Amino acid sequence: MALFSISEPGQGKTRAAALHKRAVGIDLGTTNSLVAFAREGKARVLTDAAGNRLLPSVVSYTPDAAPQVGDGSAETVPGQRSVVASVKRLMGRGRADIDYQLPYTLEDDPAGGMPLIGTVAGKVSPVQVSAEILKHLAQRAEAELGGALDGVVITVPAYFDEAQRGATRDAARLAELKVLRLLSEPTAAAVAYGLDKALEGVVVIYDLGGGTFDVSLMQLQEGVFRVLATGGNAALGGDDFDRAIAHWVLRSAGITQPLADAEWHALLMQARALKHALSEAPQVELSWRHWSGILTRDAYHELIDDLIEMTLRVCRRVLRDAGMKVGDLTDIVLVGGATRSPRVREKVSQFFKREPLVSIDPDEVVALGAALQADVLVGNKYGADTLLLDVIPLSLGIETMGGLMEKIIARNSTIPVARAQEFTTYKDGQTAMSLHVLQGERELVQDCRSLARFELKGIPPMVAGAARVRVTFQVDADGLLEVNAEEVTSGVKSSVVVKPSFGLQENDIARMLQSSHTEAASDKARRSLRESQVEALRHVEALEQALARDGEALLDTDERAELQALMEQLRTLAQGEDADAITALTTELNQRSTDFAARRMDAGIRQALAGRSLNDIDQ
Amino acid sequence: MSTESTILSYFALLGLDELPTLDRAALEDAYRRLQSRWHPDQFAGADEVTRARAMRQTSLINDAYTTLRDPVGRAGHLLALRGLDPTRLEQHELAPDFLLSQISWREELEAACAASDEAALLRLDERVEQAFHEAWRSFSTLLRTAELAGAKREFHKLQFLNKLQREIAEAEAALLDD
Repeated sequence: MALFSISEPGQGKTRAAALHKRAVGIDLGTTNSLVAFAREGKARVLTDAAGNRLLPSVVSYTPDAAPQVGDGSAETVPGQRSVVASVKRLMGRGRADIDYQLPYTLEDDPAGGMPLIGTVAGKVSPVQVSAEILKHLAQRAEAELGGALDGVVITVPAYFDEAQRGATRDAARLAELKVLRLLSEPTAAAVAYGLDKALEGVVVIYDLGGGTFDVSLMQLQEGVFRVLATGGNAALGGDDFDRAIAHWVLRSAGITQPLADAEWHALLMQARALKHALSEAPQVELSWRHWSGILTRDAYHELIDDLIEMTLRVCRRVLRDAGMKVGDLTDIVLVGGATRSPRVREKVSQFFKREPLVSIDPDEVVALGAALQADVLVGNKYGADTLLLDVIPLSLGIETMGGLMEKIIARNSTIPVARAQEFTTYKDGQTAMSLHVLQGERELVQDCRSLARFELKGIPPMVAGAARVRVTFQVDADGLLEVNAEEVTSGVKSSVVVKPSFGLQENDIARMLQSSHTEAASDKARRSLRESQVEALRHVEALEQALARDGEALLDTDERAELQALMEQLRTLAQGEDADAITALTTELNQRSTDFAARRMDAGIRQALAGRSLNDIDQ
Repeated sequence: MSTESTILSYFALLGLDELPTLDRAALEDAYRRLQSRWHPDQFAGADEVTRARAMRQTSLINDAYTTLRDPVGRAGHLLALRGLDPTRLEQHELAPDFLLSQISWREELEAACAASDEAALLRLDERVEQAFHEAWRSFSTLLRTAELAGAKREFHKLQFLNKLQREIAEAEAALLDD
């Protein structure tokens, strides 16, 4: 510190820079990705050495070299090079979700996870491809900021479900980045415009990208910014405008035969150029093969108005979902390249009866907002903080008798959220119960997405209906789910933690990291030590609460003293490094306290939050 | 091992009076204050134990807020705090005349949907709303006079009426979309 005290005027800045933690915001996009950095409320996009801001989300694989990221013009050459693009669409998805053509082959993962992509360098998972893009962006940031990153905020679409968020988080772990928060894209966009600093408001984020449309309605009140409702269309975007022009050309030229791929591609490129030209000029001339003609702006508008109307219908529904009217809105934010179109702006402002905010580049606004939030989360505080609250886009539940989905957490619930529900056995002497975790709004299991299956074993034999299996869903602030099940009447603790089947399993990540790291083994040991410490303290804390509440009533002095001594011992041990000993003592504490737990149950004490299954009926 | 025992009062958690009538402004205020204090984002750099605790706290606060904001959720919680299980519906708790009204309301809803009759939907909506208010009034009175069995009967009516209102709203939305 003494060194700092003699700093010359003008060097204060350097010192501040040295103390400032390096955290960046990453917009991991379908077509392009960006990384941005913020300090004291000002954010900027970080460029590569050549000054490029956008990184095409493209990874090309060759048999012998490391994967190349960001070459948008790379093409697949059979046997020599495989180019993987638009991998975001595959994140957290199963084979059955992918009902469109992809320029590469998909293979089923024998472990039942996400489909794998066949490349000349072997099979890769979408998570691995995304990790390559993240690593590339992180390197760009480290080069410019001059050191390792302390943390990142990665944006995800608001509609991204549990599995997709899980996959994104896994990609970050594989890229060895510390994720401060997965932030929803609309929230990031609103933050970039500083709307979170207003006193209050209701904001619509209208995001029309190349191939997808999303709209989110957010409410700000006294420093809490909340997503109220979201909607979208995953197959509607600016590329559809190009296609509409291309089809018009074909109709006008009287061409009915389908074009070869290369020619269709060339026509689309020409259509895109026309689209951009029509933003300025009232009409453009064009020729295609033998035909030439004029496309006026009015004619172009006729071609795309139906598409824009489709987006506005979604907006109407989102307003209704949130119980809001156009008059309640205070701001409209435009995101995505297709919102550069003057016609889109015109229609949007007509619909919302308000001029949209357009001063920030719609391709960069999400990354800039993420950077601002990263700066706050990493601890570089300035000014008043805003709390950004997210919701889960789809309901989560469990399969019950008759193939029905029983919702445990309703869609649009603010996260983090935890809910528990009790189930019972339906056969005498049943000692195991299989649980199927689902996601979706429909009643039948077959219409919902399967997230995980697991079994609860070791239920003591009882008559049907006597066992009480308590299933707890916990969704964290990033939207990731953990499910626990335990049989409570017997006091025998038996719980399971599941990870979504579309994400990577813990050991997959460990294995992948190991292949690139020599110290992976010690990392793993450290992690397991950390986990056993956390687990131990969690148990001590839980037991402490239980003792404080019911210890006097249900235990005699000796029993209480015994448990207290054990807790003390475990607390001390957990400070140390011996993972096995910590785990062993945790288990012992558990066993010694089962009797206490059983007595608490027998005493007819009801579980806390009994009102909760009621909410499931009501939502 | 179960960690929770007696029921936690969401009213106490949010510092609100334990009454059927809700001070909406006080609820919003308490919610924002507690969220700002406990949200995991405030502990982004902290250790896992602290973060896990923040997550549990925030989950609880979110649950409390959602439960109390909704009249039916609030009613159920008030019953639970008095030792009744709002999730369990006994046969004798349904008055026969209410069962009959249920059936006729459902039939009306189906008929209005089949005929795409928006006016009929709105009329039904008004009557259901009216019935909800009546049930709510008796619920509040019975709770105040500690006639818990009666309060619970009214509560189950509220549950049904609430569900019906949602279905009517969905039917209206579907009509508007076409």
